[in-house]
Amino acid sequence: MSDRAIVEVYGLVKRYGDRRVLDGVDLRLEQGEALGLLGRNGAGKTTLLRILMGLRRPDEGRVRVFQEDPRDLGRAARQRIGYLSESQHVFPWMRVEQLIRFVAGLHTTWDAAYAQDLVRKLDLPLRARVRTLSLGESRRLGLLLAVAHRPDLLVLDEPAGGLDAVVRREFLDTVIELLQQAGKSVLFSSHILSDVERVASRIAILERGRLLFDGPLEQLQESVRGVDLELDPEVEALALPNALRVERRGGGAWSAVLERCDDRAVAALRQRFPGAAIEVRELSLEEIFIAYTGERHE
Amino acid sequence: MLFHVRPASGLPLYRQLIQQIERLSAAGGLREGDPLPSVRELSRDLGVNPATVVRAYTELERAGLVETRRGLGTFVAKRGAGLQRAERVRRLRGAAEALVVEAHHLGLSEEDVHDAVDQAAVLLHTRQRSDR
Repeated sequence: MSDRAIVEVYGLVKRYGDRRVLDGVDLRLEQGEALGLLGRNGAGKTTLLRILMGLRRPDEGRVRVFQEDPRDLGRAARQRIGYLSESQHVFPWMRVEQLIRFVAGLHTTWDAAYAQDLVRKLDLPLRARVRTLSLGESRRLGLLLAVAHRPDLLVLDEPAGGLDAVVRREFLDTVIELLQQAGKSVLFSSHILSDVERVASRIAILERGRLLFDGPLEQLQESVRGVDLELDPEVEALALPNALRVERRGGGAWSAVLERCDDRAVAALRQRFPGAAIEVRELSLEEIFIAYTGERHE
Repeated sequence: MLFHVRPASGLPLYRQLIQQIERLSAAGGLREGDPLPSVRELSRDLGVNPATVVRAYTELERAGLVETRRGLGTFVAKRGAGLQRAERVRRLRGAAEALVVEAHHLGLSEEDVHDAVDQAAVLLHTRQRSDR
């Protein structure tokens, strides 16, 4: 076990009834990395994050956060984590300032000046009762409570859910500010792929409880490419190496998305189809995601 | 602002940064010895992971286009301080060869290649003027 590993997951299985929500997941998060967890609704993202936070018990496999089992993480290790979940705040009757004071009391590393700064930047109504907050205000409060103790590991479950562009940018700025401090790590799920592209250094794509991809963002962007082929003579079926998708566009025109599509792979294609016009395209993260999961990321 | 990034364009963000810095210095918008923004500044202003900026600067340094002076920051390198002219010409030939091969596969002539290069140059100059 490497000492730079903040999170380690081996062979993780979680069942709800007959359904395997997580079906043998291996995952590592190293110090300083920002891992973006992608997946359709129901892919198992929230369950995975909850297990890492010690809120759910795995059925099989081994999970370590700061080298410890998250279900009996010591107080010191717990303080190194900031977690923004999808659920609502626990003390809805409190005023915002009371809740901030309450959570501050739980952390020895709470940075009061930074918290005050965030209250202003995130435009939080200190005197309002927590239950009266709008969705956006509630998420912003959640972010403040998750980062003001300057955690070593920040875990965000769909932080942008239901937020407008301005608030999302505030979220983004706060997370990036955290990443600028040496050794801080972030693990987040999001359906807003342009935000993921800005923040993530690594990507994990989860589909039906399994990881389809896990690696550096640039590797995903540079090795998965779109290939358009105009074949002459026409063929009825086409099998291509490392294909995520192959579609016939009509006649001799085919469109494919290939993994590990480097220059050598393209040269091999040209050799295999000497008479064909072959065009290679860079794909957006959205297009890559669709190629892996077969659906838009929503 | 000098630099910008466009997520969802298909080009990795660090590559977008590299391209902009390369273009700017090719067009004289960045000169030898000019300082580049710090990693921290650029990461904050663009709203990107600092690792993305580090990656761009590292690749540019490897290509000899910028240099890092310890404790001072990153600067546009002296021309030739990085790659020797012969090496730069060699790289350009490699790119040109790829272009000719591509034209061949598209069923286009060498004439078309020359036209495409001329047009790209004009477009680049226009864009640089409008950036200023």
